[in-house]
Amino acid sequence: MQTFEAALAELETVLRELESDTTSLDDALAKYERGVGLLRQCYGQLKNAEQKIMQLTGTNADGTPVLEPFEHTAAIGK
Amino acid sequence: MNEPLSVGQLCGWLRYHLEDELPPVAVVGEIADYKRHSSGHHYFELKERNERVLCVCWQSNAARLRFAPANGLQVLVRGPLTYYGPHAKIQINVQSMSPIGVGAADMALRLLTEKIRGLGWMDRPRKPLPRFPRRVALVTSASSAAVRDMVQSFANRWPLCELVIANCRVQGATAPAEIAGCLKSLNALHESRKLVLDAIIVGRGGGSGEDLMAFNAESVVAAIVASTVPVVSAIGHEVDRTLADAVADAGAETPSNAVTLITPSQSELKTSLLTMRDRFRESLHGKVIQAERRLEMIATRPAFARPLDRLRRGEQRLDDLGERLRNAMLRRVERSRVKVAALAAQLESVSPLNVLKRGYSLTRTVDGAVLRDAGQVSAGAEIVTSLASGEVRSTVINTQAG
Repeated sequence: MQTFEAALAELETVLRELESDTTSLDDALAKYERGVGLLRQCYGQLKNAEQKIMQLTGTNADGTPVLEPFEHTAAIGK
Repeated sequence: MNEPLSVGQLCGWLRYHLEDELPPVAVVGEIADYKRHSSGHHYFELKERNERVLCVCWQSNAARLRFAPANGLQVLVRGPLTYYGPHAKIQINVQSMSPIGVGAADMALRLLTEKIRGLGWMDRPRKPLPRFPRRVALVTSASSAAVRDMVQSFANRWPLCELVIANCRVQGATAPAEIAGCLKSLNALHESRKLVLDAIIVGRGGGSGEDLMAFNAESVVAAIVASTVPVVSAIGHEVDRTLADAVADAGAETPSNAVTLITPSQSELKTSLLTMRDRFRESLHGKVIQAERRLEMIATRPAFARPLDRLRRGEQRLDDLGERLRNAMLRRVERSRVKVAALAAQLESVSPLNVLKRGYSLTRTVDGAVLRDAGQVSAGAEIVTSLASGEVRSTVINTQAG
């Protein structure tokens, strides 16, 4: 799936093309469908966004990060 | 101590008492005669009125100085006393040195600020900040209010962003090294593509004066400048900006403001998505209406409304064209006829028959070749002569070259 940013950029392009007078009706229908799909995707990403918070606790020998879930409610409690 | 000592023994005895028996000293004084040797060792004196003490700061200790010592500066130096035999000197082996007195910290900061400006770090080109970050690292104390504020801001504005907390102390003696260490390891992870980051926020909640010193440390400033990931400083401060703010890619007033700088607003985004959805609908609706109108216009055109009209118009046009074609042909035939008569008259005037009428004749061999040269025939050959009327056949008696 595209990133939100890429989807938003494509949405703007498709909309601009649709709003120009040069598109045929068939083309306009295809663009509309594409636009609706992108809108749905963007909405979905916003709606289902679940905050992911990790704490970096070190680096493995192979250079990969050691990440542990970060319990931020503990911080809020303080 | 009645036995005489050698010089070497006395020097050894002095060294033993100074270096091994006396605890290190802490001395306050004004710097004089400061020399930086090319070896990296620093030599100077501490003076008070007309008394002086020699100091040496070896290269390894000099490299750790957090300010640039200068003559006239009041400083506190710490370190053991030593005896340097070759020059018969007692000196302080300076382990650490810091500016003191009213404004001394300010002085150190001012000197570092000058250094940083001199390096061009203040007006270095800033890296662009992300608009829709996917992963951001927070370099701060994991148990601080600052972390809580930033997490909350991300949750409200842009929950799509993954957060990586890099815990470090933000005040105290080890804070600069910890902050700089976090920045360096995050950059290493980013550069090796093991943990790709769109931005790093480095900061702490409110504080003043001494609390913010870590963000004025040269190591922290250097780590921010060296970062390949854009760095936003977020130091809640009540007074002056820190050097970290001065060199960061963006400086925010508070940790929450730092989040605002690198995230879109989710609610604004939703509104703009709604606007786009409406524009899509209107635009398509417009296209459909337009197409319907065109269809209507085509349907009401005469050809579709009264098809016979068009057929009749076609027939008429065909008749008209037929007429024009016929006329054109007649004119053309007439023109050709006139031209043929003229050509016939012209042809008549050059016909050889006309020449024969005037008494000339044409002689040919039996093969039909026209005779122009006596050499063409020899005696006994048969020839044919055409006259204006009729032919004469003859036999050649003799030929004579012309």
